[in-house]
Amino acid sequence: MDDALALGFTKAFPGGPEISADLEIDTRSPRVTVLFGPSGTGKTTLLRIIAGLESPTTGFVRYRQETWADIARGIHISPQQRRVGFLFQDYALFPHLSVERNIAYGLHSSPRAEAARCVQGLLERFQLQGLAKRYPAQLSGGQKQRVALARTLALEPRVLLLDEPLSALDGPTREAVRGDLSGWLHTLGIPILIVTHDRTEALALGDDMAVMDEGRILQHGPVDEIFRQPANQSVAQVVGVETVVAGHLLEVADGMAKVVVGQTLLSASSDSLPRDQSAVFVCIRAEDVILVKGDEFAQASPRNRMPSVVKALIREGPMFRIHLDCGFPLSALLTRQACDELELKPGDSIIAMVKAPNVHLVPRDVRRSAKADSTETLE
Amino acid sequence: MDWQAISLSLRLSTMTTGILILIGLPLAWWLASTRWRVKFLVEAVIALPLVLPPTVLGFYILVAIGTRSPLGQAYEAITGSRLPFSFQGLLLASVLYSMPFAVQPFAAALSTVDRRLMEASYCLGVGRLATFFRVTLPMAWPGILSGIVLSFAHTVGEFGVVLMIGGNLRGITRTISVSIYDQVEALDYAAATKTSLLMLIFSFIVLAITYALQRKPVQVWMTR
Repeated sequence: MDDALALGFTKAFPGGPEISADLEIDTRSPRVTVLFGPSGTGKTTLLRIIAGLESPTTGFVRYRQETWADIARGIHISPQQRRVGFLFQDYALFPHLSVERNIAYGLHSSPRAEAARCVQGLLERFQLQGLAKRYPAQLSGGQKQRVALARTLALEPRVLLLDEPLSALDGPTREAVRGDLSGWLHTLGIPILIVTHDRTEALALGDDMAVMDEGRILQHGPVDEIFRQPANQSVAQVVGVETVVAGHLLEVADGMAKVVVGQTLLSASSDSLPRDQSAVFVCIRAEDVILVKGDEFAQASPRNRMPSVVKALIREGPMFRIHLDCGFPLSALLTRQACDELELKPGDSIIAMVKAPNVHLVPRDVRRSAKADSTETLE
Repeated sequence: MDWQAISLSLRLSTMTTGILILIGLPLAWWLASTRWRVKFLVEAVIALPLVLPPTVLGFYILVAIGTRSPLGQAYEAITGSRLPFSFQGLLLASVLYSMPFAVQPFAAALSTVDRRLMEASYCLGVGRLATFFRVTLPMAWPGILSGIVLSFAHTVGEFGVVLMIGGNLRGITRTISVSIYDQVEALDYAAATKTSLLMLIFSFIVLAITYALQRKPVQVWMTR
């Protein structure tokens, strides 16, 4: 692709893990790509290499026709020349400069009047007018983030990189800022890469997602597709599909698959399943599990109805996570109200229902996914 | 009061401090940012004057700049004058002697500056040198100021090295501390008392100003 931000590099750390990145991001139809994965998998390093703050050990970084780094050819373009916007995790505002001077920092070579106009425009756009003379220490977390974003955008970057943009904020602020941030990002018209390990953040901010674990990009595609159809077991575990159990495929007919997990027979959709593959992982998200007491729903539509025993109830904020045994361990997520109405307690017998399309099958023992064209699995 | 010695001391200290800013800042910046494995050797060499008796340091410098040494001969060939027992020789010795008092605070201050601030500056298109002056130096300013004042005050107060290198030549190498020594030797206690008191007051004022300056301009962003 000629109009892509293309990464194909490895980065080795002495005594540490190796990070390898193989990713192409289209720069013509700018989308927000979330780099998702647990902490310490090299997501931030990947951003730093794109920005030019670090060099890869082997390989290249290309932006459209420009080569930003190519180890074999001895090319390393400095961060100053790349025009990449980088929003640091704790924003890295200059503490000795006021808000307006922070924003104007990179505009030192522009004519004074033009720089002032640009700063004024950004102050208005990010609702910072009253704060121009303040210092970073006098700002709230959300305000700091807006200043950092304005400072980065003053230079009209060609690519924007955000490292855990919400992690420096406290809970209630984070939710409010998340909405605003998503709105701003989608008006910028440049490709954006966001690093996060927070699932809600990934879903809220991203159009596309690249799942990273242990230094590798496991899958790259639209966010909902990745959550609904993880390419393999590692992706499923990273993105947090709560129930991942091994099963065997019995038959596929009319787009429906029959799998057996232990003694339990399940119906699943079969659209992402390769042929000649009987070993599968069965993935069920806790949100997709419906719990029913008694027999009154015998005529219900979900294909899968499993008699289960409640093992444990764990409170998670406003929700309850129910651990069930239905022949295999199954996890369900219920509101507190639903839990109260069902009068659930450990040891209760209950019917767990899951619609067939919500039972996802992932090939087992095969590292490459069936949809190889839409994924970036690295060996 | 030996005003000539006082003026000489001030001149020597000002020039020494100026030179230490010029060579000490890059050196400290290098020490603070290098990942070179044997940098501890460089640090140890710079810190030597802290532990060596001034006589030992003075003796080695004297040998190094003497007329038989390559350095001394080169200097003489270029300028036509000799380094030992001259103001220039004294200046060189003072720079070496006060080096740790400048470089150590400089390096400590520079290494506390968050690297991400510099990286943020690079990503905003600002070059390394400009970043040093626009971000690193302002952030490290309290420590830099300490280094400047300490090296100035230390040079004003030096004695042993001055005697070894400069001797006691009126108007050329007789600094304030040597002058006090002379006055005591001559049993002129009244003069010695006056000069000593002046030194004491001067030192106190300098240090008080330093601490005051360190607090005020940075207070806004230090109170996080």
